[in-house]
Amino acid sequence: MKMELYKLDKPDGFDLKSRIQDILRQKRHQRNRPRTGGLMRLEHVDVRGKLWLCDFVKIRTDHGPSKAGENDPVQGFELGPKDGFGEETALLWNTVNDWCVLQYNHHGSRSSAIAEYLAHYIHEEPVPLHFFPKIDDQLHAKILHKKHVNKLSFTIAPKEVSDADWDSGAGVGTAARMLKGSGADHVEITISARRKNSLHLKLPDFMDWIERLRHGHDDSPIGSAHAIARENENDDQPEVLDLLHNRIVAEEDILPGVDKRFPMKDRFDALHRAHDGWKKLMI
Amino acid sequence: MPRKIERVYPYFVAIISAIVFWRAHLKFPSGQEILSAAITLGAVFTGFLATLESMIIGLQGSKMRRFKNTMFFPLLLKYLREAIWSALIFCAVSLGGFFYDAANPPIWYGPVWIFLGMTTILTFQRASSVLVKLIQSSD
Repeated sequence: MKMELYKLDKPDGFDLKSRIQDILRQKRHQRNRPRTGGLMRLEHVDVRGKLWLCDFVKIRTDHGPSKAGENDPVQGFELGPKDGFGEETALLWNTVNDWCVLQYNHHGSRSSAIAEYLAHYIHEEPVPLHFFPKIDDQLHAKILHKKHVNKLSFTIAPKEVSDADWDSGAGVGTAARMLKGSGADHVEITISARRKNSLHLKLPDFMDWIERLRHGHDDSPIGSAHAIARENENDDQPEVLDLLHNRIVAEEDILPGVDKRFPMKDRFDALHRAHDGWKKLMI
Repeated sequence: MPRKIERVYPYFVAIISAIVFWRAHLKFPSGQEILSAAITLGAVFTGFLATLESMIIGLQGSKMRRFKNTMFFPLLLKYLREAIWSALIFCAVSLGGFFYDAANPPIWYGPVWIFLGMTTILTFQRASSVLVKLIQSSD
């Protein structure tokens, strides 16, 4: 299981504990909030002293996987009309210093979705909440030092029609035209300088731009971003830098249960261990 | 086109046309040929749109599935139904015209007929242009 370190940014006067308790007091169906392709809700909270461990579930109601055996034919799960496929994501929140450890579940709720859920849970009382990823200082220092960028390459997903276009007031005709798109999953853009020359570009600014694009998206439009850069003109060993995977990440093996899910307690324990191991980085 | 305009432009243009017809004291054509032609046109539009509606509901593919999951799809069906109802009402009003004296119809008949005729044409244009774009876009 992969985990990432984040710092929660919230207004000083906002009591997140009360909000979480208010959410938990409601019945399960009342906690659901719409999310792309289904619903999401706060399912469970464990309090371990100053650490609050929350489990969020994203319910995919549109389509999902099948059940397949080595010898048995592929078949669907038996689901009721209001059921969907649940994707669980655990979050550890240190209530004292607001550092958080978030489980990475590709199909589950991402940091932006969780922030939005908590921030807009009470429609009339929206609060600005953000999770900022902790950037790997070593990689960050390397990026700052590599000032001569020779090549930049990134992939971006083409625009797709969604309810966000509806919210922006687009007409049905515009949406139908947008649907045509490029037909590509990703568009790869490569910008390179001639030999010995470098691009007039500051990598930290480019990374800020990427973060802005990624912010607020469950499915980030940026697929990958790499730069080939040198420290100075005379540096003859250019290095390939992965500009997306620069976060503090930990991975831990967890044994799935008989239902092939990672048990919630094991996920919470893994987050707890990662939190304890990252204490020195929480500055 | 922004959705706010897309929703109302057939009715807006139809109202303007009816007002121009009324204010310019234009004369409704005498004879019943125009009413027969209008009924034929309305019936053709109705049949064509009903076929398109069943086609669009049956369109498959990943892009269409994505489109059907957005708020745009119910609005497209609404546009189709508005176009079908406009054509049907236009047929009914044109049919009603046969009961009046062809040389001297009631004073309101001309503007109402113009309003319904323009509504029928423009709602048809709106729905069919979206549908053509959808068919072009579907995989």
